[in-house]
Amino acid sequence: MALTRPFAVLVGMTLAIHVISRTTGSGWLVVVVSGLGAVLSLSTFLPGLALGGIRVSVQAPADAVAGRPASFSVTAVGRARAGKLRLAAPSGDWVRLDGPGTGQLTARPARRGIVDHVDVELRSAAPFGLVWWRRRLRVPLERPMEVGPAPLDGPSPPIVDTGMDPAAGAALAQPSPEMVRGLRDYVPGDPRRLVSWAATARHGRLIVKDLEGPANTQLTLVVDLRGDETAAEVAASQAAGLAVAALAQGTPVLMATAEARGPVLGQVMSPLQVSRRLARATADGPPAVPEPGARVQIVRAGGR
Amino acid sequence: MRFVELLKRANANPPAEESIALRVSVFVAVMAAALGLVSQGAAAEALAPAVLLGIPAGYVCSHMARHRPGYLRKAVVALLAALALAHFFSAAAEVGRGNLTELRIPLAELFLMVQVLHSFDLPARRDLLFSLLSSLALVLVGGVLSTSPSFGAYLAVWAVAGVVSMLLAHRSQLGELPPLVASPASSGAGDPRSIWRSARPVAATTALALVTAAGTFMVVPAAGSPRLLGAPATVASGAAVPFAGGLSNPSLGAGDPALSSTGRTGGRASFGYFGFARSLDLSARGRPDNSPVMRVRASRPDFWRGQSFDQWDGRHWKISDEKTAVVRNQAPFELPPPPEDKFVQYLGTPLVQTFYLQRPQPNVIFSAYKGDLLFLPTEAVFTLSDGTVRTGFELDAGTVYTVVSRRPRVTEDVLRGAPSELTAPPPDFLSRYTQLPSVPSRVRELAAEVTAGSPTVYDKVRALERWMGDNTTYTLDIPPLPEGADAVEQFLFADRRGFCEQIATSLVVMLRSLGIPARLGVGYTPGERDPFTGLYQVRARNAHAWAEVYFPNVGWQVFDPTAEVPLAGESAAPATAPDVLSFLSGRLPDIPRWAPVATLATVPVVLAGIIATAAREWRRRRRRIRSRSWAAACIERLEAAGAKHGRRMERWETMSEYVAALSSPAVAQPRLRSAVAVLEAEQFSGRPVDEEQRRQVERVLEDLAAGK
Repeated sequence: MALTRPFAVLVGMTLAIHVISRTTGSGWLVVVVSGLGAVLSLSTFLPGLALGGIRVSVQAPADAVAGRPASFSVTAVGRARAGKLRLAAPSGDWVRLDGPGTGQLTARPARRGIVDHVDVELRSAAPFGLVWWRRRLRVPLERPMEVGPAPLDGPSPPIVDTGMDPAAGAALAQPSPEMVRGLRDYVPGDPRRLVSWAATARHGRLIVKDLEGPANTQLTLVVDLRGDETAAEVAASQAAGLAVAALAQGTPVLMATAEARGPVLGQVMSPLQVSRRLARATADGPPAVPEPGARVQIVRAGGR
Repeated sequence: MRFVELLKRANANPPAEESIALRVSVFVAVMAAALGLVSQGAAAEALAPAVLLGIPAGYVCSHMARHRPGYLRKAVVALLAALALAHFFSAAAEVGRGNLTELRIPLAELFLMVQVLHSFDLPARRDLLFSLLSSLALVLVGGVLSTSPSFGAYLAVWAVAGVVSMLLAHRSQLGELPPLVASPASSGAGDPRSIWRSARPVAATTALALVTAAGTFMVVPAAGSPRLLGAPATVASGAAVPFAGGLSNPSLGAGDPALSSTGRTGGRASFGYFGFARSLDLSARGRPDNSPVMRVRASRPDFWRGQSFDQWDGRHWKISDEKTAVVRNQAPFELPPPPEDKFVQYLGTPLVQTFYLQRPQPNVIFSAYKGDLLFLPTEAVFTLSDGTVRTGFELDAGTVYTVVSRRPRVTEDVLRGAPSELTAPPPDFLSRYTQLPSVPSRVRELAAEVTAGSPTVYDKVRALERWMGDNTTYTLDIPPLPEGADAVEQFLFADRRGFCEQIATSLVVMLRSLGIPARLGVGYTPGERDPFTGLYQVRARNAHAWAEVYFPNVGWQVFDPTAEVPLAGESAAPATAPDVLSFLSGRLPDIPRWAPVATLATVPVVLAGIIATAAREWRRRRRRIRSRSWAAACIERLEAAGAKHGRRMERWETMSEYVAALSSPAVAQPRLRSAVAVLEAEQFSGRPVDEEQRRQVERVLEDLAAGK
């Protein structure tokens, strides 16, 4: 409950008028004191009643990025009138409540992680705006929101080649799907599998596919978030930046993280999957260990 | 230049207030307060038109110029406010001189002038609220100055407009925030339903505030005792009384004691009381009417005593000693106590009373016995040996005077403990106040018989009062007093009916027959207290006669079997609730005798009905809210998402019709229809839908909202 300055002024004036009514014997001033007393009483208690009658439900987006605005669908029912509401955690701006209904609110999740509830702050000073009451609700989300880190551009950690056996490493490195750059005439020595039989049939001579350069080598990104909390967030952002950049270049990315259910090693195919994997990543344990021979980039929160 | 810049920055316009409703409601409140103050005669005549024209003009100007920088306007307003302040100081210097009351008018004028000037500079909400707050100062001064119920009308308008203003100001403040739910397209500014939707909470809150205020008014203490910070006193016109120190009462017409010297003739006014004369004739019949004669501001009720009679001849009361002492040129007048009051040992707290005359009165100063100080702007007053105070001029309507009385704070125990005789009475005291003509022996015998078992003077008085209460009847309809008959004997043994003069005279005569000093006092009973003005309304019919009995060490005490006025030591400050009930009941038409019983019987039934209805409504609402929670929220989301696609749901449309009309590339019609089917099942089938169905609906709504 927060008293406003006009409330304090009115209380002071009410007391002063009461004293004057006691010293002048004016009955009208008793009427005025009663009126002011009524206004002050209603101002003090009605906001509490109004807030008590409001129920809120929130629908969060499935995915969000830490520090970036996300749109929440907020439904207020009950006595949702003459007050204001905001998402407190994650933090958003105030909107006014004109009545029951659903609206979209924007808030910025501060941290990466799985969000299964949001905090909603309601305030009301109805009807006179003299005393503000505050109520904070913890609203569970029907579907948790996965808040990934904001991808961070920066110097990449060195790539560690874990190759013990080149042959094994080559086997691990799956070739990417062949990309045909064009067609050309057959020259002796060209592999038979490059012959384009359709083009050969059309042109009446042997035509072969001219392929792109060698396929990209898969990158294994090891994300170890153990350590300082802030550093962990930075590391997650850095990992996101690396993964997104690699995906943009067409490099397949295998991500090794630790989640609540244990170490996870899996391929990520899109920035959204990167975000989700990193949202779920925890600092509770060591990340999954990549296969020997993988091209590994390690992102660590701690200095270990 | 830097100073000008600083000034500009300090006076930069806050965000302009756009709500015309708020501006109008504050204007109404301010006008009501200002006119209420003007109506109490608080302003010079030139100020009334300035208020009537200036405040509306100021509000219009403020609204028109709300977006323009107002440095020049502020400077002019500040300059004029300084001039108004200078005017106040000059007026205060003229009138002050020890009586703060006289400052009230210049102060009221200052407040009015500042209010008028301020109304020209109200661009923002903050300024409007300040204007509303400053109107409270006008109400305050008006309330102090007001002695009339008419102020209530202005106060009521101010209160309602003030409540509405505060409510609208808060709404306007919230209006600066974006809404959670975008308002649906208005069905038109003049749509009565839309207007009612907006006005309903305002009306409900205003009604709630008024009801709460009424309840608060019933429990707060009544207005207190006026203190001597200011003692209002004004002489209306005041023609000189023909004989200095003599009694004049023009309302008696031919019975005016001053008639013989002025040759004035004329009939008796309907409000004239024959007791306010040099003698009181018990054979006279008829009573004054209901005309209001004066208002009295006092913290406690008392008999407003005018004078007393000490000489009884069997049919008339007379004043034996009309020698007057002159009290000159004092402010206030210190009124000397009668010689016998020098023995009084009980000093009470002062009782300040201000009398506002509404009808011409005798040139007698009324007050609770015994007045110590008199505030009246005149050169001299005249006092009699019984404590009566007369003025040297006639007291016309509009005259105001203040008296400070000091009532010994006595209780029954104090009176019972008073000695039966004065140890050293003033000369002639006993002979004067126990004087009796040849009283019929059966009157003396009756007095002795009734008081036989009473050990003290107080018990004797009470015994006689009780006997009269049991054996006589108060009525205004009594037969004429037979020629030659003793008025007391006729009342006690023949008629057994009479009004205050007969009853009080009989009490005095019987007490005198027992050797107890007593006299007949005349004046007014307290009248009806108006809980709103805090004033006692005294009417002509409140003119009254009572017995005054002398108690050694205590002084004169009033006894009256027909009026309920408590002893000074037992009287409490009036409470508001009984006052209000009494005030209202006096204004209701006659209620049949069975009505209270019927009301009492009906109240529990009505209360039970109200509680049952409220409980049923509450249960219904709970059920509705519970069933609304998910499905209703989904429907609202569907409508909001549909609106984004350019199609609002019409009032007459079912959900199926609405989604059939929706065209969205994001969601195909079959998905929409299946979602609606789930929602309809949830709302109307009475069976809850399963989680999977819920999730499907959620997905459809999300896709629709995202416009994918």
